[in-house]
Amino acid sequence: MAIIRTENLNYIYGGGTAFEKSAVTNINLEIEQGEFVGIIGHTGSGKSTLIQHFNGLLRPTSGKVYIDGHDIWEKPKEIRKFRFKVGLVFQYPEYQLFEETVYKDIAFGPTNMGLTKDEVDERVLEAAELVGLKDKHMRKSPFELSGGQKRRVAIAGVMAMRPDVLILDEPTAGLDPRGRDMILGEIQRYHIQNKNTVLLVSHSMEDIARYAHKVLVMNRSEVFLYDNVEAVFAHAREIADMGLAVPQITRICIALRDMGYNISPETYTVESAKEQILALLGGR
Amino acid sequence: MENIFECQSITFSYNIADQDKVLPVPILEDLSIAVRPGEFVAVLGHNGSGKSTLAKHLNAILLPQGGVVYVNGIDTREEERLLEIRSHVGMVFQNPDNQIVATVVEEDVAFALENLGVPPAEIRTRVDDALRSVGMYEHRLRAPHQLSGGQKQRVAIAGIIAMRPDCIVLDEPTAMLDPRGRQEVIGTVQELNREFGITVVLITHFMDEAARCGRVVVMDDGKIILDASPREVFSQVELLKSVGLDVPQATELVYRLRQAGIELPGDIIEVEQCVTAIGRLLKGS
Repeated sequence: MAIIRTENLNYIYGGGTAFEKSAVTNINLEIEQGEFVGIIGHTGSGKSTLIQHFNGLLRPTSGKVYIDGHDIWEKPKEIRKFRFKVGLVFQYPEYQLFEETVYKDIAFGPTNMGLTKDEVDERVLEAAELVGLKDKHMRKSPFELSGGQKRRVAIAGVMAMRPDVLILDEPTAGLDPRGRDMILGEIQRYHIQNKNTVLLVSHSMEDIARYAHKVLVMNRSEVFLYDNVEAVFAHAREIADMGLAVPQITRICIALRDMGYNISPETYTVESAKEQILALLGGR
Repeated sequence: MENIFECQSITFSYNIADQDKVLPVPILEDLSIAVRPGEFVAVLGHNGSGKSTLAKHLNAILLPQGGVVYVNGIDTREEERLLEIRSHVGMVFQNPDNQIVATVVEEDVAFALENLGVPPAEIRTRVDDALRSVGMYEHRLRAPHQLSGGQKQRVAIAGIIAMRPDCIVLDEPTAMLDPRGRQEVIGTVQELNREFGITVVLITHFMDEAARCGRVVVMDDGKIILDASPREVFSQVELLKSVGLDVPQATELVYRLRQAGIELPGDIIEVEQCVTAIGRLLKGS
């Protein structure tokens, strides 16, 4: 069953004013439980507006959002319930840390869910372990940590609520390649371990190709495509025309294909490109 | 010609309070580098390798604790010449929202000039020139919050250009931008370097940006471990990976094919070079 479903979802900013703008237009989407979905689209394509509907931070101008089969706005007073089911990690989440210690910061969400102290403790330690935070970090002030570690604390704080859906908006922005690989690896481990749904917003098609099973491409407030990774890469040229960065390796394979060589234009990993080229060379 | 920057064995540590003790944490260790006028230098290194600390030495935001930094021949410790140093070197930081002060684009670009007491008529010319050179002239009357991230960074760059500096130091200016915004900013900086001969020092985590510069400096643990052309630097695939960096995918592909015994040049860093080299190989097979 679909964990997230939208029905003719529309959202208009500044309705009735001179700045009226439709940020998402007529979105009909079904995301299955347990998927790892990458979301791409250039700035202003509606990605952020869309994900803020999934946990009720924005209320649709028209249309419906269903989480686990429930219309989340049926009883607006109960919207908070869906915020625990769908956890959202914003861009630069380390700016939202505020507690005295790392432990307390991670515990903030689960404590607000009304869990017992023991349950909170179990979840904090589990989440900290997932993102690679050690015992020695837990009593420190989050502000003493490095940028990458602060970000891990913020992500752990959302993971500790064990949401059915974890949404991360550009979790690796500003990190170096090693920090990026580590955080994405941790998110992948969380996904595998808990079999939860993960939505990852990223500008990097390379990262999405490496970690996601499915890709949602947003363009001009609409869903351009929602399909598995291979199928989306088959549209590499159109995606490049939207101003999105197609991986170098895909561009190389498309160029070789255009030269008449039998290389798949849907290639998105260096390893696969290497294998195909070796196979062609093997024929000599 | 005289170097625009010259760092002679500089050292720098931050003091970190740990309970009741104050511990010095060394950031830069005996680092020397010289940059000539007109160069376009990329600085790579993982977080904490000392890149930003080095950048802040280049316009006297930080002063070296050991060694000397000369900017256009001026020792940065000469406090009374601070304004002169900063008029030679402008800095652009990561977050565009932290750098914009005014509510209208052209006023923001004029801000520093007004503070320097430049006559109004000249401010007008310089602001217009600066906005044209970053392609933001038609947006001059807009409010900064209506702009995209890439446009805001170009406004920040225009604010620097208006001061007519010899050099711009950019500390991860594209980290918060989408691919289109990144392209706008890097394109603008390249043009300023090419057309006006402005020296550029670009700190970045994006290997494809570094691949387009004239010279790449790689830092690790407060030291410079590589300093050469992009082709030479990116051919050191293993060394770069060992210090937590990446190489462009074109380089990675060629590296893996070479490991598999295929004969290809070891200094490929761009898509076109890669396609040409592999195409030639396939044609022969």
